[in-house]
Amino acid sequence: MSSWFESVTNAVLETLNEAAKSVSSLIDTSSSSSNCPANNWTLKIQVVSAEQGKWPTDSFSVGLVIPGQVRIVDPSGNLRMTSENSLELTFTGTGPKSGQPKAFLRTWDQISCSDANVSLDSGDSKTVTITIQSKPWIAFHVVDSPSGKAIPSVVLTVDTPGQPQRKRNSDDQPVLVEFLDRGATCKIEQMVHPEDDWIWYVEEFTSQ
Amino acid sequence: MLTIRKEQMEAFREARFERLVERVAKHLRDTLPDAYTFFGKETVRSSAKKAVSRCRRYSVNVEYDVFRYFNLMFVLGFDFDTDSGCPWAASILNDPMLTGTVKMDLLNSEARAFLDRR
Repeated sequence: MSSWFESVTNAVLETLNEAAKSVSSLIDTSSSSSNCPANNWTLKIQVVSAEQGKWPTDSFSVGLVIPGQVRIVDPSGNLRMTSENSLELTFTGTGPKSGQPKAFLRTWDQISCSDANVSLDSGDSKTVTITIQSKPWIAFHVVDSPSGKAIPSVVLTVDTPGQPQRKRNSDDQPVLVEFLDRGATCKIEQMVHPEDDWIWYVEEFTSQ
Repeated sequence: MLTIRKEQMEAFREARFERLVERVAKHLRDTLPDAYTFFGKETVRSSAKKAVSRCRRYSVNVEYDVFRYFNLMFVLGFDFDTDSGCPWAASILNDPMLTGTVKMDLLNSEARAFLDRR
């Protein structure tokens, strides 16, 4: 059994999820009632990128976090991209609700919201804007001191707040550490070359 | 007036549970027949049953999300929700602030990153 899990890839997950779309529904399996109450408030959440021409490459969720209850009002399915760098979600519901609009992202951060806490009641129609920005990243390029040429195959162990990451330097691509939290520190713990027992010293750090 | 007794309600619920288990298992057989053969009918069916039960426990109620939970079992392991190798799974699934759909979106993002890192 373990051989299956060792060989499984992202492609398998994508294939399964794609197939699931066509054979499953968006029906709530916990509910047996078919009588849906009428929607009587509307909340539009616009998500915009703070970075010109950039947008998250992985999917993310947007919700209204309602403290003390079951907490996120799912979108009604009414989602549209309003430009390459923004989308709009329409939430509908009934009865009084109050919560914080929030985008749940892995590689980007929510940096602001036009209305930190939204209160909704029958007949309301409100719009809030969430602004998002990509998480910081850092690139290390290990080069030979006299020649300035990249040293390929050097493996860097970089300690990031989440966990240590092992990355291999190549001659044309820097070692990229992405998705750090703002204000986090990042430290090179070890540099190893697979063929030689090299002794390293840092002659110079450059940044740009 | 039509009155449905509690016992009848339970029977309906049980029948719905069984139908969903069957469809989830069939989904693997149709999509990845090699995997279905590898694991065998009984294992796939019991894992489908486990997926539907766990989804109830974690308030993952939308049918598509139940399928996605089952898919993750065949990527991360049948007990990924309690596996110390992916601690993020338990923290997402047990977060009372998240709906089932958000939980599955986040789990899929984490799973993709997890597979990339291997």
